[in-house]
Amino acid sequence: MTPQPPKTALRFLRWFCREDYLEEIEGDLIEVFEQQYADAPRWSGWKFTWQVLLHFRPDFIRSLSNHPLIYTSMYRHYLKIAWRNLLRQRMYTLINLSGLTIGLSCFILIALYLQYEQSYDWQHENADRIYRVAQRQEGNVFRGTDEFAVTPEPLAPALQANFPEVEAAATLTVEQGLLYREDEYLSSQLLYADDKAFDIFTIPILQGQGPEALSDPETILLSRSLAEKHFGSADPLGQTLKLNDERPLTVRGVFADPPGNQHFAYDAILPIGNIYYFESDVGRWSSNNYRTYLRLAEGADHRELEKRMALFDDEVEAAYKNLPFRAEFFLQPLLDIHLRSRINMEMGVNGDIRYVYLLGAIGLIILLLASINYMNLATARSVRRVKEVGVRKVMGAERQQLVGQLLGESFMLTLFSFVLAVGLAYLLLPGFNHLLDQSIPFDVVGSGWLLTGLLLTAILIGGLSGLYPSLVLSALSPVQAFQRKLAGSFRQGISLRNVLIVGQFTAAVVLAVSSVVVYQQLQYIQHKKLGYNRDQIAYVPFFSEQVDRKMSSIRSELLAHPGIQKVSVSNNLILNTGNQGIVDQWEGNDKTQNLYCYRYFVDEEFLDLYEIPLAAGRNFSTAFPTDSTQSYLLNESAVQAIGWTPETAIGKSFRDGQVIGVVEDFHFQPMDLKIEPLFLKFRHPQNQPTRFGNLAVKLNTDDLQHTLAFVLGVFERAAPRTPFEYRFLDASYDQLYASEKRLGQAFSIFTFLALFIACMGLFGLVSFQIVQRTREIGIRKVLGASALKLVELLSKDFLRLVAIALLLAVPIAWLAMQRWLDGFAYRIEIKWWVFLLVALPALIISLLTVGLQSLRAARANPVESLQ
Amino acid sequence: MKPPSLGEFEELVLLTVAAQHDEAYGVSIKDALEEHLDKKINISAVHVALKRMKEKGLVESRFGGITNDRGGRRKKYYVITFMGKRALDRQYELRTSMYQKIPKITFG
Repeated sequence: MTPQPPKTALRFLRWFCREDYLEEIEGDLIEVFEQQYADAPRWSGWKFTWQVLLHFRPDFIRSLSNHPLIYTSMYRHYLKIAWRNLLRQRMYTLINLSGLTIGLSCFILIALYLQYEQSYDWQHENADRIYRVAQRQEGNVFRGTDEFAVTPEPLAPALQANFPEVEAAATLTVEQGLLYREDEYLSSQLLYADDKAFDIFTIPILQGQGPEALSDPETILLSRSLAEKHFGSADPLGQTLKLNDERPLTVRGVFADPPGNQHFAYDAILPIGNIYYFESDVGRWSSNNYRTYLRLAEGADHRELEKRMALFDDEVEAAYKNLPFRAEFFLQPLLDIHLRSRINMEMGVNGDIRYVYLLGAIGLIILLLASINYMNLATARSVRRVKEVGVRKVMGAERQQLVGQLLGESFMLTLFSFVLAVGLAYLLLPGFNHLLDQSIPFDVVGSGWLLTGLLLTAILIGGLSGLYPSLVLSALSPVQAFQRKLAGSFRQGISLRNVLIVGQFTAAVVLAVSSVVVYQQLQYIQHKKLGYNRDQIAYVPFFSEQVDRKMSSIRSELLAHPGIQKVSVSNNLILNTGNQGIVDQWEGNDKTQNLYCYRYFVDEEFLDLYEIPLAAGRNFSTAFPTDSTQSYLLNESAVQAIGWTPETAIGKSFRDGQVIGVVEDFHFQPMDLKIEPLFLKFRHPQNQPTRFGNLAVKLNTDDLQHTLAFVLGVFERAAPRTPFEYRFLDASYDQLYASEKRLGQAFSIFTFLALFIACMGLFGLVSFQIVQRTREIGIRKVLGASALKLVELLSKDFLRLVAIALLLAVPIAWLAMQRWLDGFAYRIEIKWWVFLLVALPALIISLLTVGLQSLRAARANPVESLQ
Repeated sequence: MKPPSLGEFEELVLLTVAAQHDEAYGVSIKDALEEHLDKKINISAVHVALKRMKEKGLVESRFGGITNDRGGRRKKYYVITFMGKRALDRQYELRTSMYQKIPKITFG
């Protein structure tokens, strides 16, 4: 037998070599190979390969135009055929592509949202080594958690002094304040800090001085936008602003606006000594007015440090010795704060990892739906290409070429759809931002994973939807192809598609049921009887002792206005949980039991204005001089917790006074928390002034604008040069649930889209299959089948799939929603008719989709289909 | 018309083609060169030289018949053209005329 040269090398030679040289060169090479093989068979193969490689040079490589390496003409032909195929089935093309595009762009939007939520605080250098110190006050549960994001002043210096792994530790706090420039003022978020804050956070200085300026207490650094607001285009450096119209501060620097994805916002930096209470807090371990941030050395373990912070136990214990709970410090990684920290006294509104997961899940479901849909319809449509494949085979196409052609077409389509989806997402992003009240940038390249992930998805969808038909079709012999014999493989295709349809509808129905339940729960929360009336109430928050002192005149001035029915002043707004404290003194309890009790300081109009009914006893009254010092109103929960009844509670001693009445429970906490014990104490602002409070007015007028202007006018006369604004109680209440509401809206929109995609897919698939069976329908009609019978025949299979999907979806949706509702203290029960509410339209829509299409086919004249 | 110029290796290949008149093809040229020069020659170099000389019109080619050797590939035989012969002559004249200008030198 003659020796054979290496095949790969030979194939390579044939691929690149000019046609007119090939025979000669190949012959010569083989001859040389044969000679060499006779001399030294071991190396001849390698030598041959080497010789082939030596021929790979411009002289021998075929030219691109005449005898091209890449057969562009063939590819052009592929493109043309692909295009014609798309046009021939315009409607299916449209359904298929738009479904995938909508699905992909939804997914892109959701992914952008997730990316933005994950990006919080990453802009700081060494962000992974920055920690916030927070404390756990065991036994002091407030709004559902005993963890607080505040720390005392001496903590940061002590940490830095005692632990070498703490590279920097900063004490800081952010408070709202007014910055006056002559007569104009702007309300700003003021970051009180020292220069150490700059060692921890990355704050780029644009102009003037940075951290070094903070050693002078009368300094202020402004963000660029705040500087522009105050000084316009003038140079802000060296100018003077007055803090709260009192303390003059010199502008010494301008820093870049902090990005939106940072867990706390500020637009000016001041030396921490400017807080009026700072001086008295220095060195005090109970001064929980500050935030402490650390930067740890590389490789330091923050859990380890947490344990060693027991070093401060003595100081902390001394500070808490009069309180029934103790405190311990713990560290929170900076990067976890936005999504994973939901503790008390957060500096801003944090995100919620649960929502991130929820939206992520929806995004994935939509992507899945769209992909399944696309694949279903694409594989079904490929049946139409059988004849084309037959012709190609007769003309000598090899299997590989056919697979390549069909797969390539599929890739191109999905990539095209992907590009469209990116464009669509770009157009929709502003609306999406508006919906979620976010400012997500269109940053698809961002961290890279988004774009690559999406591209891979598109390629995967293209591959999967192209692979199956291309493998099945290309395996046919030309004879089979012309006879349209798709053998058993097509049946398998049908069952695979059935599984996909069931999966798709299940997902869509689960989403739909969930969105109905979410909607109901949100409605329930918004319309649940709160125990008080929040209609027609406006309120003005104030931070001014002057107002408190002049309260009686303000009150009488307001009440003189015909549009104002009632006026009440309380320290806290009824919406906001007041502060909580411990009561351990009441009749029958001698400091053995502790009652965690929220407290409100109110006036005699409070119950009246909010229409809170009394369960027993009487309201506060100026007629009883002792009311202002030793009278208490409790709520039913407090009475119950102590073990009294509303009736027996009256006259019992409580703290330093006695109970004069019991009010019915009202919701002063968010709906995910239970109503807890609460006491109300009488306080007349003019007698016991504090720095802040809320004045609420009950309105009875059609002329809101003038009435409210009048209210503000009264305030401004009482305290000139102080800004006041009014808000409506019901609007503020709605705002408490704004994020839930937004989520609910986003949820319904995406659900609708998912259902839409699912139905579109079903529609496409059904109508396509019916077209495929036109001939069968014609024959059946000729043989006497009635239209009704035909409709039944055609729709039976599909409807069965939809029914199976419904059965599967019910338990899944029930379980998922049960878990979600468990997060609320006051929640609805899932009603059975919710499932019906979703199932019926789903059945009807699919019935219509399938039925109409089959009816059309059944009523067509059989002559046309049989010709 | 002036014949085109020749590289050294091209000249050697052209000489072989002329010598093996009508019997020269890739491998035979390679073998002959290897024998004369007493060193290994890459067949690709021979092919390059042949193609270039063909483009310059110094050689012409024709296919031989199909045989069982060489994997059934036909040989491509080369013959020198008139132009090729002139190029060789010119080269030869140039060399000899210059060689004769060397004065008689004795070494050692």
